Amino acid sequence: MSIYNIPIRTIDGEEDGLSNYKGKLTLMVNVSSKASYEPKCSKVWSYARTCRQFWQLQKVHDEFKDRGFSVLAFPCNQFASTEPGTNEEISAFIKKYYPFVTFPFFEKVDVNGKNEHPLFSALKGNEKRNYSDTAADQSNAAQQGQNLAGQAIARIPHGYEKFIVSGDGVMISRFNWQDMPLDEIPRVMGAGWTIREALDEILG
Amino acid sequence: MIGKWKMVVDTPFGDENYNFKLNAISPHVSGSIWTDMGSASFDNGKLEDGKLEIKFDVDTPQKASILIEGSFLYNSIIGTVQIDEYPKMIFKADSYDVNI
Repeated sequence: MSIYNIPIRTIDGEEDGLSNYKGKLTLMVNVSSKASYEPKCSKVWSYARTCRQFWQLQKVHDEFKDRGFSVLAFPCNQFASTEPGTNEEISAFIKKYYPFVTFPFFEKVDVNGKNEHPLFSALKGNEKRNYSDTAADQSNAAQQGQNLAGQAIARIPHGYEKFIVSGDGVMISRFNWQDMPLDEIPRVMGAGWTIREALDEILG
Repeated sequence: MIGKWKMVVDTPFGDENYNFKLNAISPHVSGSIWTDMGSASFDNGKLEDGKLEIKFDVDTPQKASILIEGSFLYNSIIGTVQIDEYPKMIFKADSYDVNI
């Protein structure tokens, strides 16, 4: 099943917003516009670090959009409650404090757990899941399942998990929050490619 | 002019307080900025026609460039803080120990 067939509204309430991206390569990312790195990090610096994510996402969006690519952002409040607002409030906050962002936003969703949106179930490959992903489940079966499944179906641990999705709606590659869009070398040695390298190679 | 200011930065995530020390022999400005979380020093600031400009780099997990621009209003300073190319944040700094 193509990921682009999964119903989800845009942040402005448009139905089936993903269907507009059929045939395009996309980078889907769960975001939080108030991502705070406190108490280790000041408010000024938390804002700068959040800006850095949005800024670099915008840069790759701009660099590759003419080749059939788009960044798609999905606000999520599951990580330290850093996206508490309504869709309207999030949209207004983005426009005010991240005015350089032009890539599209979708409605706020859960990306893990019992209320997770089917889009993120699909991105994580949950149709292959044979274990509970709750941290509380330490049963042998769960641990064996986790070992077998590996990273491909792991729960999302943080904001800014990034998924590259092909034009026919298949998740191709996954990067975590520390993998920045403009990284010049893979954060994890041996990981194969950076986000930009992946986009460039897939787009051909 | 040598002095200290209490600086409040209006960030999108709420106000944040800093201390700010300047040693200005126009146009050259040196000084430091600090909070409970850390400090940074600078030695290449400029003060000309009442306009203050301070640039310095910090080496947090990622390197970043800080630009502080301000204007004096009596002993207060009003201006902006910018990190890298990101949007500017407004600040106001009130003096508490200034010798002109």
